[in-house]
Amino acid sequence: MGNIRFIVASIISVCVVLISCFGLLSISHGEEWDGDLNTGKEVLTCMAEEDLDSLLKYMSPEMISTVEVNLGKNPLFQSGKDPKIQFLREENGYIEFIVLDGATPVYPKWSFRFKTVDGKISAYELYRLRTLDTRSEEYTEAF
Amino acid sequence: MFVKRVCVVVILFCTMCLGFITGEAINVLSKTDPGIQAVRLLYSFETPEDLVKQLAQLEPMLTKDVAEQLTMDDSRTVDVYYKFKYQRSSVKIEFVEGTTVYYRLINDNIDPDKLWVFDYELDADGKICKVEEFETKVCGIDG
Repeated sequence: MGNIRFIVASIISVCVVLISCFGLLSISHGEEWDGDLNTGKEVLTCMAEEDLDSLLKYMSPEMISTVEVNLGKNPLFQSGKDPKIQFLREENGYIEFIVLDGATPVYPKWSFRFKTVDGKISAYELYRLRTLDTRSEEYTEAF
Repeated sequence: MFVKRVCVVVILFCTMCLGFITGEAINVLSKTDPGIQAVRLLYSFETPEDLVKQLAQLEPMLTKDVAEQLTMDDSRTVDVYYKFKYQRSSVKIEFVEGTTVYYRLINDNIDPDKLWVFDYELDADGKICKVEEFETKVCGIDG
């Protein structure tokens, strides 16, 4: 009888270990950047048009203060008199785009990675991408 | 008593198996992504000889045009080794968005905070038929 209990306890222990490991694994991979696409596009448009009031409406309460502080460093927020965003790739949580000021692209390409909670941005990363041509001098300088 | 010992051994064995399977699964998944594979073959090496071997491994994965674009010959080995100041280098994959790989270069002479991008397309034969490489400038990370 004692042995049977021990075997049952052992099986349960194994299951707990397995579930814990999978749990840990899912936590390590669980940082999903799958924000709502429409919110992401609206936010980018607000940034490019320097529309701070609208922008803040799309930010979660925790983000509002950091966004206000960091906007001065955000070049997308000063991207020209009449900037237009042209989206190149649109997915939940990830957008690639170019900014057109008149007909001149301000920078080759941008990418925006973001999370949303209840339709508001809870985290984001904004990158400007500079093309590397492996045969150019610039490529050497980049490193 | 014997049954208890067997159970302890079984639990330990299961835990080790799980660790092994998880490690292998992660390894297999990252190896099957052609972009991650390409980035590692291009920029992760100990010696120039490694790099020569890796470029030879990479070449069949590329179309002729892309191989030409990436200058898959000895000059690339020399260039890369020179750019990396004759130091070994490794790649840390930060995140992958579809066919876009964001990574950092771990090398004593390269800013570890710089994020690099390898963007690719595959043709019907599964070969990399288009490559664009970018250097990123972080414009905002909040949240």
